Amino acid sequence: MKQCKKINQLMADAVYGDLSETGKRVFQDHIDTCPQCAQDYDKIKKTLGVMEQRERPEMSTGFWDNYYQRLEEKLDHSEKLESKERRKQLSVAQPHDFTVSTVHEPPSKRRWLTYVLATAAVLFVAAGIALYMSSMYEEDEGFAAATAAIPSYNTAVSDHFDSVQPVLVDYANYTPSQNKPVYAAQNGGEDELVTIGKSAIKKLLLENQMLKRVVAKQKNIPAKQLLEELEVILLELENGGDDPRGTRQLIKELIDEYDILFKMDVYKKKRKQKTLSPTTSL
Amino acid sequence: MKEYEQRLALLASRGDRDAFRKIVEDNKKKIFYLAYDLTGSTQDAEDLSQEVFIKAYRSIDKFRGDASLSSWLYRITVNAFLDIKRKKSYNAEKQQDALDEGLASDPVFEQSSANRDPEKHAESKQIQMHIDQALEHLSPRERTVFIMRHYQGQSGKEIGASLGISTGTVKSLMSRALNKLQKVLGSYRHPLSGFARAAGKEAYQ
Repeated sequence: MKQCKKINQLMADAVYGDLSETGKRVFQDHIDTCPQCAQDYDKIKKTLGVMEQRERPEMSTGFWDNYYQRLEEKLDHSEKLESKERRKQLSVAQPHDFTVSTVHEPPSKRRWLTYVLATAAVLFVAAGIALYMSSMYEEDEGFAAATAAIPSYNTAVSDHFDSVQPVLVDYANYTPSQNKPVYAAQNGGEDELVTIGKSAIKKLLLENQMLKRVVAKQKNIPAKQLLEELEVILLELENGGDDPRGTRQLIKELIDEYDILFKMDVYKKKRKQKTLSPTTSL
Repeated sequence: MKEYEQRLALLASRGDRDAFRKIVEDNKKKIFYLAYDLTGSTQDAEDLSQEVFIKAYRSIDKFRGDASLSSWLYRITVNAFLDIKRKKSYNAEKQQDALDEGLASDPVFEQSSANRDPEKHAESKQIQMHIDQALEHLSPRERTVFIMRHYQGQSGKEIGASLGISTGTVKSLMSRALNKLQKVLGSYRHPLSGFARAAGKEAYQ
């Protein structure tokens, strides 16, 4: 059974001819003796046979000949917009039109106006960010009704995030020890590795997959996307055996790139608000 | 080739539109078809590929020449696609409508199939629809990994570099993609005919 699982993971490499000589022998020996794996491998090959039939559109000569012209029009247009935006920003930063007005306002009033405009800009941007975040995580109107029958799924997603977050925080905050050899010597040869057991990762991955299916059925797209991003990080945790330091660095980069800790916090806070709100049907 | 590309990139970074045009002409088909494979629509493919070239123009000074220009552009394409999926939560309703109408809504596809006999044409349309539906079942990353492996012939290492993930995770995503596709396409079983990784790369370049 364990061997079948390993062979299943090799099927993609096998079908594309990417196995080493040893790998090919091991793979073929198993396929020759395991009818189930042989059948699964056959199904994968036939699936790819169907996918091969995907047709590519034949774009006309005119399409290709004018491609650059259409691109250049877009590029020129976007450059014009950018330069307009830059001019606008400059005129906001400099409230006085020096070419027109000869009346000079006292310096204290000028400074006050600049502070007011800067504060308004900050508040405007903050409001924009808040609106964007709320729209990103806002459920459909029918969501409350749809999930009334399954009140626990939101809790399950939040619980999943609670399980994963401590691990990700460790990876996000990891910095290599300054005195690696000393630390390693004092700790039986082990460096400051942030580790999590393989069985724990597998459990989290299974949980993640189940929750993805549930949220997809509920058409909760933001939650699905968040779980998908989390899944990539969990896969890195699962696969990162040979190069612990490289894996740690990669996971840290993914956490930053996806901004996943922040998004999980926002999700849990919104869930909490909905649970506490008297108007919710959850 | 490397020096040629580095020279072009340097000129383009200084605002030389002719150099930039050369970069576009050399890579437009590759990037357009990668965008088509990712998005499934010629209109979206054109929008995405043009967005890629605009991004490339703005950041051409960052091209260091470690990899080829096309690899660099591939990476921009993949990231732009994933960004679109992340921000727009890619309109599932719009896609379903398109699938319901069938590929008849894509005039380019109709053009390419116009000369076939009606029965084969109908069967082909049906297969295309099922292929597109199967791809829709994949997550954006699974789809990207599958497309780059199967249709673009990229190696696990190249895909990992484009997505910023390890080859182990590329393999995991690929394995999941194949299992999902196999489940969805269960009713379509056609004999595998001369399939090879090299064929995938050549046929779709």
